[in-house]
Amino acid sequence: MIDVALSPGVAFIILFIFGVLWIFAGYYLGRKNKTLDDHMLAGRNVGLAFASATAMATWVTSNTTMTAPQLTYQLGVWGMIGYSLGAIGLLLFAPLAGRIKALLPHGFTSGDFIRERYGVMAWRIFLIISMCYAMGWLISLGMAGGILVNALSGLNYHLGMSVIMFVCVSYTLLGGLRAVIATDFVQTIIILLGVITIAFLVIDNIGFETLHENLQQEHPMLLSLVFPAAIMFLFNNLFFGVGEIFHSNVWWSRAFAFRVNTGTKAYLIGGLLWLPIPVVAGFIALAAPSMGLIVPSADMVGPMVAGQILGTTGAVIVFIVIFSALASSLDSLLAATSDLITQDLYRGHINKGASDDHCYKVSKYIILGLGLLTWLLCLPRITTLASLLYFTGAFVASAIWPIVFGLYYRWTSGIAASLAMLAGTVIGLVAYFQIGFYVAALVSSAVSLVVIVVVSYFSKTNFSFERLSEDKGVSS
Amino acid sequence: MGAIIFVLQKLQTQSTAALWLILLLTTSPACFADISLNSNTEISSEGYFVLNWVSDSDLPLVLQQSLSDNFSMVKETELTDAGSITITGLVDGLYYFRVINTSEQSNVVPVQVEHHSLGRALGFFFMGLFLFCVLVAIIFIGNKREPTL
Repeated sequence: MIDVALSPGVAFIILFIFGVLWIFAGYYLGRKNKTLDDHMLAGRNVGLAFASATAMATWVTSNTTMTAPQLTYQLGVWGMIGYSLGAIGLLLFAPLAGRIKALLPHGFTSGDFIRERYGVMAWRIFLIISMCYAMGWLISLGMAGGILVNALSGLNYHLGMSVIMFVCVSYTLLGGLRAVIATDFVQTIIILLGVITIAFLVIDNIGFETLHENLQQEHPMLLSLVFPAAIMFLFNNLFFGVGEIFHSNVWWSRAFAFRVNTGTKAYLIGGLLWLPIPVVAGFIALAAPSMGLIVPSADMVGPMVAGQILGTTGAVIVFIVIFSALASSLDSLLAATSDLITQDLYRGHINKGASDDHCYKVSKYIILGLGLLTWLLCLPRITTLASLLYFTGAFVASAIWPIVFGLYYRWTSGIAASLAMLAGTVIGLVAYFQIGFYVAALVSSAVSLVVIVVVSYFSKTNFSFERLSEDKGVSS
Repeated sequence: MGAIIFVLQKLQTQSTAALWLILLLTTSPACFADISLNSNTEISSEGYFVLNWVSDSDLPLVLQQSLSDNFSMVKETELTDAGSITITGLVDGLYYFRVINTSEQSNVVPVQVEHHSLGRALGFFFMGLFLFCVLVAIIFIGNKREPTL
């Protein structure tokens, strides 16, 4: 047992109220969905306010609200700053989003681009990378739900995780991307208001001097500017974030769904709104030592400190904020991953002649199956959130250069992209196990860059971008 | 411990080797102590690690941390019944840990904190900075050359 700030009953009531609210929103918004385009891409007509909100809310996730405090607790001030560099991924994706919408006006998934641009071999390697990442992120989100409920209320990990999974699967199933984006808008407002309130309460409750003095004496490395592992982590986190966003269908599906000329602005606004959130979320972890808090697992530090410092009211706010953050990412990931499976695996490999109507039905079963699989994999709490998440860094960072070169440069070849993704992933994983989680993405990205440039030099192509605009997905 | 050996003898566990093994194990305080402590690593390159303890007793527990194996100078932390604690932010050194209550103590767990060299860290830092500059340049040049179809 650990000290908890909320009674299990209060936690359950919050889960129930917000769960019913999100599911009702999913049902209400889902009534407008008539076609596959409506369900997967919200009719391809999302305006700037909703677009910016969904970009920001989806990127505020268990990563931000729970892993940022964990990394601050483990890697100190550099961990906190390094985490906020995750915003660079959104900011750099802004110009790419405009280019994606222009190149693939009829595209559905990031897989569509890789298949058309690089061919089948690269497409299959990319799908494996995407699925490994998506499952890693889904499991980390499911686990974060259970950990959150357990840390703040003492409610059983499995119960909390199961309820949150059930709620998110239900409203994504009912409402598709339209419900995901609409709930993201509400969740963004809750997250921003909640984070501002928490920041105010933390500064009001803890003196900077007490905090600094304790860290200086008992945990000096957390304040050190020459903390080697933390220095190694800085750019690793940046490239992990860039890799996540550049390759993942979560962000590509939004680029397709946003109105023309909206994507670039939306991702810029989303990135700037996101930037301060991990700093605030991470900062509160530095208070744990001076409070004499016993932190059983580093990924519990955020909610534990918030609950202890801010009392029951603060704990309720933290609970709602993190629940909103989790839901806003879990729903997006469920929707985008089911799109990828429906479009690239089912329609691309299993049933090539499937109609849009048929795929619309299949995508619903896939959301359900994905939810069930994630729930099963979350049951054994295998590792900490950061370790799980950064394991996928080696995979996603290897896809950065194939995406960027593929979008802008005609000479990049399919064989070069395939080898870059393979070599980057393998050597990145070696670095993960030999050195630490904080270098996997960086090493993967460096190897991938060298391979794609060298191999393309020997196997140049002259790709015609016009081919992409003619693509209408795997069914064509 | 004597009682255990007595019972085993009564059960006619006469094998000399087995008895020696039992006697050897009983000399280790951790084996039959009511409190046991372990760490998830012996060497930490990041200054953080997790200690886990198990105690049969209901008495309040205290974690002692020292830089000497005789615990001449200790930092004490009162434990809850969470069963594990994450230690962070330590500088290089060999640290010793044990858990005590008013009547007994656990085994001693040593953990060596040995951070990566600063040279290695800066190597990764500049590699990251270089890659970041390349990425920004490639996107910037790409947008200039191919703004639209």
